[in-house]
Amino acid sequence: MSGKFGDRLMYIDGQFVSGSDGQWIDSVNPGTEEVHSRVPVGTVSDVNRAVNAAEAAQPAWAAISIWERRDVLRKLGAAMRARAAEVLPLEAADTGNTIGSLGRDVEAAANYLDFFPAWAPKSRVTVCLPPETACTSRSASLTAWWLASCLSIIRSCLQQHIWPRY
Amino acid sequence: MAGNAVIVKTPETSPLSGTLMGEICREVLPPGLVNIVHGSGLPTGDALVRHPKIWRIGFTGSVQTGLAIQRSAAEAAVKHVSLELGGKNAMIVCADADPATVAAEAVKGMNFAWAGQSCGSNSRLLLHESLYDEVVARVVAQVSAIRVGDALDPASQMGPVNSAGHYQRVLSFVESARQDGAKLLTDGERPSGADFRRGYWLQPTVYGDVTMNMHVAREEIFGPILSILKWRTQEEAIAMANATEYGLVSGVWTHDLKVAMSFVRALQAGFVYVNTTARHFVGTPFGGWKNSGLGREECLGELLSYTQNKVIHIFV
Repeated sequence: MSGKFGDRLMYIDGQFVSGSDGQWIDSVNPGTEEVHSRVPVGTVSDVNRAVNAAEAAQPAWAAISIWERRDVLRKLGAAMRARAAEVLPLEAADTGNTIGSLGRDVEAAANYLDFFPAWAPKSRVTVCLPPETACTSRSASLTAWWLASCLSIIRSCLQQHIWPRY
Repeated sequence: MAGNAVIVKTPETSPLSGTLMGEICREVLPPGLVNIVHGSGLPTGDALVRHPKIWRIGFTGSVQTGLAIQRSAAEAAVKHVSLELGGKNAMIVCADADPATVAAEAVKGMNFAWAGQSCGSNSRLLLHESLYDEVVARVVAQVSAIRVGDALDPASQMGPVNSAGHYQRVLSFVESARQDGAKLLTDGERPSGADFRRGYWLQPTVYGDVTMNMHVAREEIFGPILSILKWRTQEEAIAMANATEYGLVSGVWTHDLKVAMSFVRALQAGFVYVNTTARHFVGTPFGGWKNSGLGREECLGELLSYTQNKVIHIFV
């Protein structure tokens, strides 16, 4: 334990953990120079563990529908708002930013967890077929429909898929 | 939303709110989907940037660190890097603007609540010579009245600078302004009193008669220091506004739409505000030109930047 906020840990693979080599960084209140907490130094091995955890978790997350991901992210935004009162004093003490201005920051962060999920209905898999095949498009998303229209003289099928980066 | 897992590295000088984010993620998300690590650029940040399984990197911070990320990423693989870096943002005030409004907005837009430590702060105020004296007097009066104090006190309007290292850098600009001959209009000193004996404190500071050959005109300070410059012609104002390595946001104050639009076209910045100061609107792309950044955030483009295209062409 060090300081009034105690030791704070890393969050890897659903667990709060310290660093693999036991090194710490003091966290200092910039208004008083008081050490009020410390956090572990993430080593190369800690980063590798985080990447492995991310790699293991990602397929199941990508496999659920975009509608379910939307619901989960909205819950995350609500959970952030619910804990804003805890975030504010911690952040003000740690950054020196005045507490009166920080409430808007938490709200703004949570707002983005509402904004991005709102795109869910526009992010479906798109299959566009040229008119002469007598098939109809299943859905149009973003620019993919325009692209497909330009290519409609080609007897072909064009599919654009929203695909995760991993 | 795009189906990715995420690893967050917190800033080493202010990691604590990130630790609460871990608790919030544990309530809602499956294990491993969001991971939060702490540490400095070396070894932690560099290990993330160079990791062969990480293909998408988003960073907010300094130009220097942004360049280091691009270099390290390029040595490891062909990675998609987006950067939201600094600014030396110009707020340009034309002769027809209202001095009282402009002065109040210039002070507000400096984001003194964060001790000016905001990439969007209008840290250069470019005033037309006809209203220079009046606006300067009002700005100085308002800046001197800012209540500096404990960040946890709701009555405080400005707290300390974020860290010891950054504090030294901010103070070096006070020294460079003195050497370069900028006119100190208010403060430049540590606040007095028992509450300020320790900590990284600097009173909100304003320099006048600043010219573009001075460090306080060209370099991002990321602190509570406002530089005021004077201009005569529109061409001169545009040249001054564009004469930095940055291009994040810029502002123009005039009631003449034609004048406003000619500034808007000429300003090298990712966001131009007309008759208002920097603010974020949900869904509008935020990001900079030149060394202020790469890519845009807070918009649909950002969401798509975390996906990849795959075109499938089937001959039937």
